[in-house]
Amino acid sequence: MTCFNTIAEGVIKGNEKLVRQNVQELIDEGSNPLEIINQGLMAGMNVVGARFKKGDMFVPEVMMAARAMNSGISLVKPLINDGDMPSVGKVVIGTVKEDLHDIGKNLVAMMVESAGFNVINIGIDISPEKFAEAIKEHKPDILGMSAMLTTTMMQMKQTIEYLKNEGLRDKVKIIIGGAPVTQQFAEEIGADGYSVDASSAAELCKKLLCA
Amino acid sequence: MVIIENFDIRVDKDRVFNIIDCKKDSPVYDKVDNLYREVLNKGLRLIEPKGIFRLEKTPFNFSYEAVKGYSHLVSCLVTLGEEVSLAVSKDFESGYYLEGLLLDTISDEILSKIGQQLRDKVINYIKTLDLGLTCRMSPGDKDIPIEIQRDILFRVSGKEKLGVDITDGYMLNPLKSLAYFYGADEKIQVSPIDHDCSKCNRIDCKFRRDNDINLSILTEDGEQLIKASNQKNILEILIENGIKIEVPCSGNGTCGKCKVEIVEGNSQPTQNEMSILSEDEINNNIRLACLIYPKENLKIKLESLDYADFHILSDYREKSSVRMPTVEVKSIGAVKGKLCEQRSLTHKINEGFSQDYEFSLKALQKLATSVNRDFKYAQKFSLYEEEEYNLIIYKNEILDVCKVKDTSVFGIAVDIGTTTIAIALIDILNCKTLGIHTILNSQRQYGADVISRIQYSVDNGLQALTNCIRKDVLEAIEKVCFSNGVDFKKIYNVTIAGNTTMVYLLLGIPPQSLALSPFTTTTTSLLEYDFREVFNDESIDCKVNILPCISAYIGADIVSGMLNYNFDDLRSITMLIDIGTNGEVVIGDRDKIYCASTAAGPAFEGANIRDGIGSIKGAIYSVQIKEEDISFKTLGGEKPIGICGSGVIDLVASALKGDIIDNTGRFNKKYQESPIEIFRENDKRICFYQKDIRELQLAKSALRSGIDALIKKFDCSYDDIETVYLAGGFGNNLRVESAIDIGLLPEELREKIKLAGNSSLGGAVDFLLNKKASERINNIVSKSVYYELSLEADFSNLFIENMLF
Repeated sequence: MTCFNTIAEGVIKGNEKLVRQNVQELIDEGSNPLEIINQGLMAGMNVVGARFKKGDMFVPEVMMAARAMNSGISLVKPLINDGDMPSVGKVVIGTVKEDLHDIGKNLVAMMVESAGFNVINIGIDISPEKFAEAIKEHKPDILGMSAMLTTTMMQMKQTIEYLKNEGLRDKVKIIIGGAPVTQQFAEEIGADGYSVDASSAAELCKKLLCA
Repeated sequence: MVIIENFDIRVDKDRVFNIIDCKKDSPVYDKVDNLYREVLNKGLRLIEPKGIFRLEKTPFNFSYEAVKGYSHLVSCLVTLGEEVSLAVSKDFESGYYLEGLLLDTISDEILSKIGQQLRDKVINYIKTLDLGLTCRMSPGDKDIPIEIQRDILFRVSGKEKLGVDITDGYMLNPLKSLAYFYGADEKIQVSPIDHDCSKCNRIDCKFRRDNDINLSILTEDGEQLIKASNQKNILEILIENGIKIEVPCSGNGTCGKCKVEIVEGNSQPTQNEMSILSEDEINNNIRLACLIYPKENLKIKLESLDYADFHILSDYREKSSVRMPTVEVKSIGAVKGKLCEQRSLTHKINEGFSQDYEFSLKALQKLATSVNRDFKYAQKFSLYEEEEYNLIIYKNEILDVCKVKDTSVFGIAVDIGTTTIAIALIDILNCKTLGIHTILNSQRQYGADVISRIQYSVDNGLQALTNCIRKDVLEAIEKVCFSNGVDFKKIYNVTIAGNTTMVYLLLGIPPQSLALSPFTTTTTSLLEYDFREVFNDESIDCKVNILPCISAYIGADIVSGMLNYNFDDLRSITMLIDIGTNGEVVIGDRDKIYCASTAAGPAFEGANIRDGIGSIKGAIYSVQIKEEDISFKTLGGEKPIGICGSGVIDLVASALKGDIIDNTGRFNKKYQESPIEIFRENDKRICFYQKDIRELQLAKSALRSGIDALIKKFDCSYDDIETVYLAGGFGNNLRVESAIDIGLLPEELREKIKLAGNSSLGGAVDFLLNKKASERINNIVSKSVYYELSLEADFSNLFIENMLF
């Protein structure tokens, strides 16, 4: 048990070396890989998420923590069957058509992934058709869309319309975000949720799946 | 239409850290800091900054009505190219989130900076037409429709000229591009600000500057107005604007030296200020520049400082003799006519100068532009149209080629001391010191003296110490260049002096053997390496000279000091004494130089004195005792916080005169029960104890015995000595009289002692400015003989004798 705590502590501190070392030790001792993830790595990341939200931690620290966690997971992953990989849910995320902004969406992807979701990042300049294909292919629980400009923001609306016509709208929860986006806009275009920053995006995903 | 590709792309690191919310107290600050330089170098490699602007009569069909009130429209476009955006995405894909975020932020900073620089070019241009300029108007701001991006792109032919395209969503591609415009008209003035953040609707933008404040600064030279960000402290603002202020603690809020007076406006004192400043000062609106983050417009007055009192020593002797800098400039115009057409350019140049120069790759690439009109490289730099251009030559190599108007050559001299590091920026062509920056050696955290640093390296490896010193020097170079507006590309040589241990630590050479008898050295030679190798950093491309040492305890700092005082060419017997934790003594004449190092211990630095302190503001540096009355002076005239080495010497000298201390170092009866109280206020007492006298006796005897033993070894008398140069940490605070009174220095030399300042830095500067210096310095080293005095038969007798006063 102490070892799980050490791993969690290592994730919180963003100490990749410590995390890898302890994860490897536990693996060598024959610990259950799923427990390593849930009680060690993920437990640490939950603390990180909470502290970030409270303003006790900042983006660079969260990034170090996320890297430490992913590094730990990469050691455990080969020991787990694909289907058994713990996942809170599946999220497909992309930046809308004609919009090339990457970094905000990437931050969201990182935070959501760190919260235990399986995230499929499909990139930038994604047309409604491509979003629809991704939903068919990956069958996610949640679709996330990002836009940076007032002009490209309208693509979110068009994507939702397109999904409705294709009969896909009800298969996923839709969340949106980006500089010009507001809660009001989300309601107007019929999205299921809006989040103001990356850490609340992770919470939003959890909330939507519980509902 | 004007295309610009020559931008200054230096990045303000503090701003980048601020934007990504990485504060100095963050637990990951050091890790991010370590990554920063690597990412910055990568960024600078990938970024291809370009800008373009076009001035025209305001077109009737321009879709932003407000511009029609001005006679002219200036359309602007800047871009960093697509490589850097791709690299950011790649970092994120590979899980290198922090690298990606840093690179992204650095790019944004650079993009914003070149935008400002483009504006400067625009202003220069329109001024010739007697036009004024509005502030910047950016599509997407407030009521300016984003669709105008397309108009601007079209007006400057952005796609053809800079390769910038636009999506149907009106987004520029490459992403790191900006399109904006100005109105220009003869009816208006040039707007003093560029982007007006208050008109922008991105309230939480980290770049937002409508929180800018106006700072008015009063100095002896008059008043200066500065527009500044409230994200920065006053000290940073002063440094950025080239206003000089002493900062021994590098702005950590600990030394209390960067005092300013708030004349107008308010600044609540912080906890730190409350504890460092006196009540009177707080009431009189004195604050510390490094701790004020201005929240409103302020008028501040800089204290006129008595610099003579202060003291990370950085002044040195500048020589007036004729100089022959190590880096030379020759004009190609001189030989151009003689160049016949059949042979290679390099061959012709060598023939023209009757030399056999080698050419750096950079030089060749640039030279080629003089015969290739349309080569792509020529977009950035071309000599094709130049009648004349200059070759920058170091030793036998042509390092660089410059246009005549861009020719400037700078060098950096560095003195790495155990406690402090001093850096001088030298204009090599004009033989001028442009600026000096001094910082504390941040290796302090690993121990105060060389032995404890060596011990640390044995226990924990070298890496931390080496990184520390590299970073310190790099940052000091950055600061001194930044505040003097010097581009790294124009630095063509770096010369470094320092004690042997510091030099080894910088170079990553294990120093263990320096601490163990018989004190074997790995090398003592004059060394020359690429900057990249020494600093593991590519921001500067030049050679680094490491000055030679003589032994483990006579380092390059002493050798450099000898160069500064011409020990290679002495006409009479001369001494150089450096007083510090190790006291080094050198004596020489025309034929030979003898050196010795004495283990004085840290008493002179105030370290093992009970109420002792280094030479910082508030340190008592001078004490007079008359009967019952004790008077003292502190550095900067501050409230006393402790007593420094020169204060200890002064006090003991004074106490000896008043018979408070007898010649064996014992307090007289009155003080045997309680120490000498120098200062008392409430609970705070500064005293001098019996044990302190004993420490001083050890230190002074070690040094004095070294001086005497070496003079004896040299086989001369005090009378034969012409001059004694006194260098080291004391600087100008040491009262030579007192040093003689306590017997630290011989009475007989009283008239011959001269304060030498930071002779180590002075020697490094000499080295930069004189190409014969390497010959001279090697001459000094070969003449020098090191004596291990502790092995001499009568040294211990001398040592005991000199313990007495």
